[in-house]
Amino acid sequence: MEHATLSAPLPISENVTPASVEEVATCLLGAASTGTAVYPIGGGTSLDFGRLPSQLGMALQTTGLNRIVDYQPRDMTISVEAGFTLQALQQTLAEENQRLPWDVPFANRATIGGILATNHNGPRRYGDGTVRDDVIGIQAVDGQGNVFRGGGNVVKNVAGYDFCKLLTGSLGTLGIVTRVTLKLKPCPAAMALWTGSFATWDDLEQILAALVTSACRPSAVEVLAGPHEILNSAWPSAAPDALGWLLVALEGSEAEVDWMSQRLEQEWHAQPVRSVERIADDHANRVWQHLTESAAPQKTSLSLRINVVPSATIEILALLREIDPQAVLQAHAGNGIVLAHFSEDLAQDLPRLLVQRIHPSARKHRGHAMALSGPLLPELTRQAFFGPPPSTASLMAAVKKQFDPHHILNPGRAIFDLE
Amino acid sequence: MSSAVDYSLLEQLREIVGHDSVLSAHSELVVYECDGFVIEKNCPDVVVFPRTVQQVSEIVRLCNEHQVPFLPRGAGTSLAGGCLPVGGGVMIVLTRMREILEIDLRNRCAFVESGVVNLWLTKALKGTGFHYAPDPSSQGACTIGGNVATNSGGPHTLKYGVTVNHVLGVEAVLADGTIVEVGGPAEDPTGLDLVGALVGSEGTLAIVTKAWVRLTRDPEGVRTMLAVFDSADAATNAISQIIGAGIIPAALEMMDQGILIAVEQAFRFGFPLDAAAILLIEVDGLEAGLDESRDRIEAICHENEAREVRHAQDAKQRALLWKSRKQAFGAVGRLSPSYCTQDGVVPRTKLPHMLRRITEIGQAHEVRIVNVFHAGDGNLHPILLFDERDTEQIGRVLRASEEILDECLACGGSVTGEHGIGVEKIEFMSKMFTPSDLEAMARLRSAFNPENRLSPCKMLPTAGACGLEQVHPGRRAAL
Repeated sequence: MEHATLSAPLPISENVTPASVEEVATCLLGAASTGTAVYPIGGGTSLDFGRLPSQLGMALQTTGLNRIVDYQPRDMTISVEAGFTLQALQQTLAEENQRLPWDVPFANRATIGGILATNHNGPRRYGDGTVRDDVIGIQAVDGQGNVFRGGGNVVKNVAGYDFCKLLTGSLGTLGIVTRVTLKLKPCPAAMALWTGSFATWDDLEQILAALVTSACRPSAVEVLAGPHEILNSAWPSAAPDALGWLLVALEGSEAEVDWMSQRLEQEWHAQPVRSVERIADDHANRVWQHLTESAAPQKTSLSLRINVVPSATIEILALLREIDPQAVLQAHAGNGIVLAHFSEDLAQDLPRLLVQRIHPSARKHRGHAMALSGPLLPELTRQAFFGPPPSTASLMAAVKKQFDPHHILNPGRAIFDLE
Repeated sequence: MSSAVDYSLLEQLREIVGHDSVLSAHSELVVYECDGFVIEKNCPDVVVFPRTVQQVSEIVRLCNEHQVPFLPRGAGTSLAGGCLPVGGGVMIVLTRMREILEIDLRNRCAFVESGVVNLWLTKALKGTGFHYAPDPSSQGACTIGGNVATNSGGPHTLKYGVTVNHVLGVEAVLADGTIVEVGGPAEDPTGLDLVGALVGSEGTLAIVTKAWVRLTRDPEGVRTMLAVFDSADAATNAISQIIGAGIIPAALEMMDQGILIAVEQAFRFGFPLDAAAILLIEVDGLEAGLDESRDRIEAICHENEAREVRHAQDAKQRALLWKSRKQAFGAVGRLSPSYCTQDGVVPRTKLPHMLRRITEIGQAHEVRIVNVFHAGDGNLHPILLFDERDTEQIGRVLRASEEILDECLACGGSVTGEHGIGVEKIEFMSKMFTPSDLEAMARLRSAFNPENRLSPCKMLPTAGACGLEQVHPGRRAAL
């Protein structure tokens, strides 16, 4: 694997790579009859996601499910098997000037099924919504080997319960997704990436609040703080004393992007934004890639994701910075999502800090925190890993039981899976 | 009154919500015998109007103790019988939970009670620069809770998405009376996406009492135009070409000649009565890009032999155009004593074929059909005209409706884009889904609603197994 790898290997005794939904069903039927745990694996880029399981089981590779089932460019929909990689899909779509507005690390290996299962959303979620918004049809195999579908092939459809939503983010605990139908978007003609630095968290909140009512309609509002490697190389003129940097992506027609660029520059002129600059196109690609890839596991003690109401983003950033001045921080600031990669120095204190400070703060701001990756993962208690369970945990467990009564699908990994 | 709803239950309900919030006289109950789907009717035994989530919870617990069915209702504007009280029981009407609790512009969300009317939220937000995007045609009456239950759409959902794309979280009462918060004002709630499962569940999984909804920025500018075509084929070809060109209009609606005549009589907009079809097209967004989009759309319309393309000159003209569209159903009364609206969906490129088939099916069954629909989504609303006093006509209308929906499925589409399954389309579920799909849906319902006492006999064909008497067996097919 490139970059950082698993904090600990999955407890796998055998590997299967089914080539069809029927073969997935057969595998799961067999596993259900013997009570064998099944760990679905796509590109293997997010295997740390969820608690590390203990039960020995079978790795079910979805990479054998790698066909485009149906692409209708004029309807702007595509049906694709779950093991298809995002990069290959984007290349196909690009030929028709279409895309999925998904920003996912290791897109050359990350599969559509894996992205769905982990509900991975990057910077463009601010302007384009999240993965679940683009799924209009889904096929999966449940924990008893039953193939089931929800949704369909059309962009508007309210027939039956919405399995497209329920399965997105379910981490393969209700069923293994085998095929999805997606709604596509046209590629924008132009993009501009603007940056500026800020000196205090209060300044940042002032800027972020103003962006909510800006004349511009950004597709991404990102904040970086801490020692990001990119700042030493691709950055145009990084102010060394800045507390952090803002990045705003503007997309649309040439005319729209030009107009928004002018307006944003004017607006930022009246706000405490320093070193305002439009990142030149050759750098912009690298910076954008960094914004996407830095969600991947890093060589640090622990990576964490925190979601709160957007206005509390600065409080979370400030808290994390106080806890670890060397933490690499990124926020999808328009959406209240913060990613933190803690330094190795902090490893010893982190479990305690998670329980005593980070989870309570996330909770106070109506959200939660969840450990993502890092060598510290195996040492975290459930409480340190997820924080307190939501009040709906027992309802989630009841849903899980209906779809996986033998408890074989990714056992022990999800917050509601109390094993 | 069914035997299960006895005097003691009635008294206990009065204790929970007060005497003035319980209806039990037949003359009062008939108001609640159906929603916008009028083919099947059944009175609830009792109607209660709770004001708080605690009251809803207590009512639900009481219904469970007495083993009577219960179901939620908003304004009753739904079109598929989603709030038909099959088997009677207790109807929980949420229209007295009508507070807009919080509008938080910084976090782009609002927290509202279920009984808040969609349009009230729009009005409360006026001037803030934000709006609540889902805008069903019934928005002047329908409630946010009802919108959540049915995953409502509307003309502007083409660009902005349907209700589920705008609900961040809900407070709900589960089938056993437990009060839960699902999701909330922060994005990406932990664990399973139960919000996604609840939205569009037509009141069969839980009773939603409050919702956190996403607010959307008002567009800076808007261009509204009316393209007039001499053939329906040309109009539908223009639709898929506009979308295929990578333009996502805010709305793209079609009206055919039949509906135009009724709408023109009602609103006197000046629609050309000899046109075969018109498209109502709206693009919105930044002023900087609007004229370009408008010009491209106009060019595509002309390429497809549009007779003319008119532009709304001001806000007043635009408002009248939208009024004509949104109240088109009301104008149908000028054409026929009764009508039923279908809600099929096809891939956009199949629209020309589908409209031709609708005409043929109408001719074959001697049923007059007019069309007004969300063309950009491929969401058709053929309106079948008839006289409900004539049972022979009803039979023909039912058969024509069924054929239309079968054709939607044959085109790879759906039998409902926004109205829901309710009781109306239960029998289509087994055409659209496999037994295994339906079994999975039944299992999801079991997790939430194990006794199936909450809104029984809805959505899933297996609902018949709940043992409740059906009201008009054999009539629930297609209308």
